[in-house]
Amino acid sequence: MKVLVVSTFPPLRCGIGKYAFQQVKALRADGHEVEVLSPKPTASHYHEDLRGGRVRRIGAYARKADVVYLHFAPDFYYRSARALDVARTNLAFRRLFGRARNIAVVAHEVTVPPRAGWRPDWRTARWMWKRAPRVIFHTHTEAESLQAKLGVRLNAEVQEHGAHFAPAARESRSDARRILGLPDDAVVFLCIGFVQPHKGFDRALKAFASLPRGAARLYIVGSVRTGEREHVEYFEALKARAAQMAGAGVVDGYISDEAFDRWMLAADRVVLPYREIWSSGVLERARLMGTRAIVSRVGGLEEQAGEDAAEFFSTDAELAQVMARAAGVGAGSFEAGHADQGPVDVKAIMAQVRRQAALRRAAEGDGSVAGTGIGSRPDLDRMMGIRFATPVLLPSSRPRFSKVFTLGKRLTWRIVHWYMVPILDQVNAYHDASAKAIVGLAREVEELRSEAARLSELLSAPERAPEAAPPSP
Amino acid sequence: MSGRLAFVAPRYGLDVLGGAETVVRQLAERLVGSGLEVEVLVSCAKDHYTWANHYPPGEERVNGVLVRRFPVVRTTSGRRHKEIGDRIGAGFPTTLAEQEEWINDGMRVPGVFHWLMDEADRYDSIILTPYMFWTTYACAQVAPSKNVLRPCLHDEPYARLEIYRDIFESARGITFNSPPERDLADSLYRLPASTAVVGEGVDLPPEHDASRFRAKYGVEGDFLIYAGRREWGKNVDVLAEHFARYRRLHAPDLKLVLLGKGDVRMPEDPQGIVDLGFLPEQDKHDAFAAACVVCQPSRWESFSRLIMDGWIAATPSLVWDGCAVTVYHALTSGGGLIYNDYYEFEQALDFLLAHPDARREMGERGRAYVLENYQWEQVVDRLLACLETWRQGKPTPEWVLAQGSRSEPAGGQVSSAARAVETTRIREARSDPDLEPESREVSQ
Repeated sequence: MKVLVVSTFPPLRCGIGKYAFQQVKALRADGHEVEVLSPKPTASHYHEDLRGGRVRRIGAYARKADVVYLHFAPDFYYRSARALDVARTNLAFRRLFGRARNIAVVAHEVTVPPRAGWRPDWRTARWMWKRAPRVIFHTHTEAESLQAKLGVRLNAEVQEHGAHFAPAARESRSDARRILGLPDDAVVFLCIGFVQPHKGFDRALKAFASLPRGAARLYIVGSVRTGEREHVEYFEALKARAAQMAGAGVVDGYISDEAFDRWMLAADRVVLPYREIWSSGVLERARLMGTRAIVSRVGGLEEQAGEDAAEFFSTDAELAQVMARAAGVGAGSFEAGHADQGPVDVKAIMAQVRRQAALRRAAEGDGSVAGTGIGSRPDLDRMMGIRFATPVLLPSSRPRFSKVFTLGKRLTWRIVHWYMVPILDQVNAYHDASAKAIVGLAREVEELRSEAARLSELLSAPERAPEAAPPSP
Repeated sequence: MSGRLAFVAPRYGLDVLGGAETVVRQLAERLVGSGLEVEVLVSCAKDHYTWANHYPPGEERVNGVLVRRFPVVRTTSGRRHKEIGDRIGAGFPTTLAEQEEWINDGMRVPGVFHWLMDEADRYDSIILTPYMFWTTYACAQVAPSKNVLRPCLHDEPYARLEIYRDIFESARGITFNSPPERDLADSLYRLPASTAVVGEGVDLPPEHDASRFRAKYGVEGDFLIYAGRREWGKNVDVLAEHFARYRRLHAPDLKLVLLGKGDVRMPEDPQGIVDLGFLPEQDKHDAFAAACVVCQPSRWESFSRLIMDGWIAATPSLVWDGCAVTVYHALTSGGGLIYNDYYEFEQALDFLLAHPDARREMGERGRAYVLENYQWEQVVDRLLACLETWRQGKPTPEWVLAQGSRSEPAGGQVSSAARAVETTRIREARSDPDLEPESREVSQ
């Protein structure tokens, strides 16, 4: 059978690309003739920009195949989240689905616009999905959720997420820990994958802080995939917080399949404190490697994990309780953070609270409160913002005025474009490089500020009592 | 030894230029002789600037090696490749997504990836080389447990990209060309347990005939020689400048013979520079024998065939201090001097040109060093031992580790002037504790 898979693909490192790779490998091993069409240049057979109206291009490839698996995630096909852009793409999909009835949409993530009859994105989303010949979900929860949100019945079916997955590491737990340099006897919690705010790794840190010291270890393993400011700052905050917490650690870097599974083998619990998600490749690999998971009740995770392989939570307090149970200890006082055990000493607690707050402040770069006077957060924000400034673009040739004027503009553009484009590229390259340099400088300033805050805090701390003199002979 | 082995490389062929590419071909041909079934999975390209498909896709036998060629695919403009590449080269930080965009916006060979996706199980080991090409980057993801990486790593900005970390850290094993290359990798990545310094083999020509070269090419008198690609990082332009200044001030009859090709800026006064381009293999060896000194100004070497070829002809080398690999070879063998700037270049050259006996002695030491460590039989034995033990999940054999880490210097006496130059260099520049023993030894 001739199969076409439309998806990102290796060597791009993304979860859906890996999923598609394993699917393609399995289908080819079964004797099918499989080709891949990728929206980005990869190791696929074909590469096309498929964003916006270009979705229709899939039709030409689909005609040559018996079955098409179209992996769906908004980033692959939508130019932006603006209603008109979304509507245009939805209509292109609708047309594609009408013509190519051999398409099975594998729904990894679907963003449904707010339900409002007048909105073009909402209305076209209903039309589009209604016409989809076949939609594959990984859990019934996802399938029902999408149908409820859209108010339409889909030709839906559910396929297990890990149907094509194979383990990449096979050591014993103790060997995996030895290779990774983890203690053999500690209870190890693991948050793993690309770091983004919606994954809620901060929730795991917060819950971990409530456990008695020495009870367990928490490792956050992963990296930020893109330079999005929100993600970078979130990861930096996680690192700063983990650095203050005994037993918590961050391993910053891309993790290969083998290392990923090795971490899974080494962990006692994989923690998925996600704030939003449909289904999870991390959870699927945890199941594959036989590692229990602690999973938030969002999207289809509860159904995907199954009762036997996971424990679930809804609130942060519940997460703390589940982690405490897994660590074999009673839950600590969730709000108290790292308060020392023993009789309550308000002064000691306050001192610790102030110390931790000063460090957090310093890590966030709020020099004014830390008393360093080096600068303030808004300055840094302004500098960081440079990175995301819009590049210089040539004027649009879309018709706004008379046809003659537009024609003249187009003609001028054709004449000067060979000369202007390299100049603009150069300007943008310099712009980008300057922005990066300034951001680097801003980070340095931030580190200096943090260091100054630490020193200031050390200087202002009450002097330690002199140590007892050695006994006289 | 039996079994099936695949090399994954960007280019391969009898007429493909490039040191790393030539070594892969020579290695593959010798491994076929050892009883292994060897296949080379490679692009159809011959030129690494254009990546144009030159060879027809499909199978062919090249000197007994089964070569499977797959077309290079370019569906992008390459604009982002250049933009991001410039930023990487200038040392600016880039995100993982940008690095992926950079490597996928250049040449791609999806056919090799697809072949491995279906056929990786047929191979006992897959040797990927060199580290920075798309073929290695992409194919390393197909069956990491079979990967043996032969990185040819240099201390360059690309080595610090996040996209390559995975290739190094998930390989079954890694073979290095020299201990400094291994040390560099060790400082950048968390290496697997199975690594070994295997080195490269050096061809031994049947003979060296200096007078034949002089007669054939009309080069008379003393001359320095450089052979290889002339491109950024090889520092040939700096060498030419140093040479021009030295010639103007000290030796108006001295010449610099350049072999190979490339486009680099030459000094305003190029007198004395003789550009011979590519020479037949035997002529090249004759040229090395006729030269007084082999100059290696490159900063990015993982092995340096140039100085090895010079040493085989018993010609000493003069290497730039900025390359840990060539410095290591020079200090370990006692077959070369090291310079950092023009003044050290001048002093070293003064000494070498004025002391033909010391030159001869250093050349002989270099030759002994190559014969002791880098004959093809030794390299192939080391590689086969690694492949076999790593396949079985065993650690690298002790004898391979011992040979690869050889650090004792060549014996014999060096004249006082040579000692003085070397001692100064060592005193000023060596902070690497691994090199201390031989530093002391040489300066005794």
